[in-house]
Amino acid sequence: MSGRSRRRYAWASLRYGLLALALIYLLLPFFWMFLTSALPSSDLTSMPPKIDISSFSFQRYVELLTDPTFLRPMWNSTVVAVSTTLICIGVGAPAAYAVARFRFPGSRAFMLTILATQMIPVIVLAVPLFVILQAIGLLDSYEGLILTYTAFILPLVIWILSGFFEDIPPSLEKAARIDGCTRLQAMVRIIMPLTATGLAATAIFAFITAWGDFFLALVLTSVEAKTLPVRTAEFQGLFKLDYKTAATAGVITSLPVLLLALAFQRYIIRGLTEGGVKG
Amino acid sequence: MTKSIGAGGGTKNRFFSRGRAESPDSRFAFWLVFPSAAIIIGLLGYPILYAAWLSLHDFKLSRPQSQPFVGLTNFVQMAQDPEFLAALGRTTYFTVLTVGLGVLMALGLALLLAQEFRGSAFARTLLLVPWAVPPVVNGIMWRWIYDGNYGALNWILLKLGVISETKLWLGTPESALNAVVFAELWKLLPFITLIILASLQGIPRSLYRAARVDGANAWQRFIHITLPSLRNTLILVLILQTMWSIKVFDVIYVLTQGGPANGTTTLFYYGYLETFKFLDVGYGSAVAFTIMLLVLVLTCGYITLLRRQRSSSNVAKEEAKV
Amino acid sequence: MGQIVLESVTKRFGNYTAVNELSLTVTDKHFVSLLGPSGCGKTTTLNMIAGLEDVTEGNISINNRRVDDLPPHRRDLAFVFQDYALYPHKTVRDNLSFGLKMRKTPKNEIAGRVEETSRSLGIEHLLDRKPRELSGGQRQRVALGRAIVRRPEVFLFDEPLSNLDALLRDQTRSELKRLHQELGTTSVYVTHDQEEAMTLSDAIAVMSDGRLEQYGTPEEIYCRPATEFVASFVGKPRMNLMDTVVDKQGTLSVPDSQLTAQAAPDLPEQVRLGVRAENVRLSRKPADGTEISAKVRLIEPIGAATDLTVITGSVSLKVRAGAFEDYSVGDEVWIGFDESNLHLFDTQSAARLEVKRTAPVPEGQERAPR
Repeated sequence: MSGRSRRRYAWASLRYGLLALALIYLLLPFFWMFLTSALPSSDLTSMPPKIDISSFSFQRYVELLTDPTFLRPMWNSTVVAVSTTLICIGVGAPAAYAVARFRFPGSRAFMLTILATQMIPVIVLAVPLFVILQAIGLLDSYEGLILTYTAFILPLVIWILSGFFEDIPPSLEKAARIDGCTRLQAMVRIIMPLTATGLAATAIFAFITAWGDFFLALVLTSVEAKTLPVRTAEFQGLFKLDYKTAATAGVITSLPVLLLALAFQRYIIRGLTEGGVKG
Repeated sequence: MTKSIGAGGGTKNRFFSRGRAESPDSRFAFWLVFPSAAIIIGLLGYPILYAAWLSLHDFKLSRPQSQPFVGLTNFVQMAQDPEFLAALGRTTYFTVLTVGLGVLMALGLALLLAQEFRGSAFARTLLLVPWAVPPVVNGIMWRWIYDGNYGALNWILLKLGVISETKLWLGTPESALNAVVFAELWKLLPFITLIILASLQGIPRSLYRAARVDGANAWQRFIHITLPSLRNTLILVLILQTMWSIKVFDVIYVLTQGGPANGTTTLFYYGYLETFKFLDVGYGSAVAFTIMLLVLVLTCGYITLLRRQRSSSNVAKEEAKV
Repeated sequence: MGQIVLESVTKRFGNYTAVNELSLTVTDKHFVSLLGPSGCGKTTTLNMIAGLEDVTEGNISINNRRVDDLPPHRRDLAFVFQDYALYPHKTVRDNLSFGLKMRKTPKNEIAGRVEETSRSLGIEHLLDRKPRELSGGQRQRVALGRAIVRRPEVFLFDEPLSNLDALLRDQTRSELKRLHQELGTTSVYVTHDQEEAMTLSDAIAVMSDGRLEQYGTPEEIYCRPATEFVASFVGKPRMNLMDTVVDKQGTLSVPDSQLTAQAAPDLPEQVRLGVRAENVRLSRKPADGTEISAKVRLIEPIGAATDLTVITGSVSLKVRAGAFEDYSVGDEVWIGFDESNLHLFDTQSAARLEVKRTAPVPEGQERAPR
């Protein structure tokens, strides 16, 4: 091997090595939690931990998934996250389109407001929202949580989607209008289908954000609408006795968003690179 | 006959002028935006005003009937509260570490992933795992790893000979804070990496080729081409991550509950305690507003940095057109 | 029936006036080009005719009917876009039929027209493909087909040839001409390419800075440009323009050179002179004694002719010579102006000055040729 190609080989090995390290770092902790949920605790608490595939048991999963105090929050989280996502996309996509295409009085103010909302730490609104929701009787309810999540996620959705709409040549709408569409028809029949990838990526983003929220759910729900993250956090008191259950809850809580992210990874990655990050 | 104004530069005006309110385009756009604007103003705008009102009053839930107006007393009290200042210090430490280390590591990871190689797409997919995992689960995950008796971290380090006996990672305030930093780093890495990666892939290959012809080695190409091209993205990423680091809560709640001895009580957690544990809602709002102010100031600082770069490159673009 | 009338049409965007009191009439069945550099307002005008932009002031009529309040799809026109604007997720067939479908045309009629149009454009084998599978030239045909299939009263074209390579552009240009001869539909065509405008149009509206500079047949535009702008914009190579000083006998002299030309008395003291490259007499040796010596600076063969840049005194001129004649840089040549083809313009208003003793033609706005 010539000196040059030997050096390239060395660099390549180094790259692969570092990359492997990085990936291990990024995946191992989660994998470890999974192992903790499926292996007998005695195996894991011995030094060194014994990892034997044959002793895998999903018993704890079954227990949790048949426990109504766990199932209920799971259902709550699903309803809330799905509803929030649908509303955010349904209301946000037209708004993002309007912002991307038209200059109307207040469009600049609107975009600035959207930016500003991203800077609001949730804690500022915790008490006011609590008071407001209590006043209209929506505390500890689906509607209350959905409304709250929508308020926070909507600006982000609009911001990201407007980037996608800007990429579409305006001549398409003009062609549609010549062909006989009204502005609304042009938007719905021609433009929306073209942004399907962007919409999908943004929807997943919204879902992941809504599903994973903890603070607002903690503050604004108690029994009826308690979401999965809140329920899972309750296991932390049991650590000394039963980490296995906590780990199982952790895996279950992560599974939907993890699967979604992996299934739609192409869209998400393309979404991140094309859409909202146009500085 | 009136001569039209601004012949060549006219197109620029077209983008900055506001459309007529009466034009059908504007009306259409208005109705598209209206529901979103209503939601945002109603559910965010109004509560913020209420929060502002709260911060100016002495409002304790233990004594809800009286809410006297106290002006800036809450803020003054806060500025003199050693607990608050300590939390501020911890937040600063936490933010600087997570943002600094995070961006550096992300930059390195992005550079590694930038070249196409077998499995690079697969690697990028795996990247999404920490991003997707809910922050609460992040806390649970690391709680076990950090465990003093049975945690995996102890075991690995013992095995590698780095330490001689098991440590209580969450046992002391300093080490607990570092533990939280590390846990948060794990979560934030993928998103930042992907953003930087996207930007990296946007740099024209021809720039690198020209540099190689000019005789630049890999390090020089990195300094003179890669970094300058990434400048805007890096600043953006700094802004975003700073904002997020200041707001970290879930991990702390699960991992350390702010302890030990308030060692991991950052500003956000401090505000949470004051509002929901000590039920001093007025004071808590003041703390919350301070956090928001902090975020705003930092963001503005970053944006001016961005703006300065933008305007000089815009001038260059205008000159190039002529 | 497809007559289009624009009366004092003005378009403003905030403080910026894109189109300024434009008045012209497009005769039915004519092919009219809106010609001008970028930013002159031609595309904005086209968009206003189409209804894609509102008219700020003035009004537009098609077929003696005021259309300013009508949305685009009620004006019975078809539009061919510069980037074709084909619906990416629809097949070619669906692209062609979309407009007809929106107008609730019966299905078998749609099928018939699509069949016929695609056949005449040679794209019937592409009907089931999607736009991204087509070449640039094919996409252009589909864009044309989409317009033709609607059988509207008016065709609008927005620089449809600019995205094609040179060879395809020429071929398609001839196709467009043939199409217009066949269908006879009133057409308005926006372009910055004066050659396109000249070849395709019955009349050309030259625009600059939102104003109409001249509206006339290609011959009028080329041979009797109404303003200096029109003179320099139309014609390849660009017309030679220079400042001259006029004496009482009407002899023009070009300062810093020996060049002279005989015009007529009663002209202002200073006049802008325009002479096209093909109207400069060129010879190797002086012929009748009126020629001036010049040196060849640049030789640009274009095949059927050669464009020479010559310098006399400190004046540089473009002169047209025959194909591949044996010139070298530095050669001495003898040039003079063809005095029957001089263009004189007022130094202040840039308006054309007639060499006969009539008053200068007022700026810009002539009516359409009948």
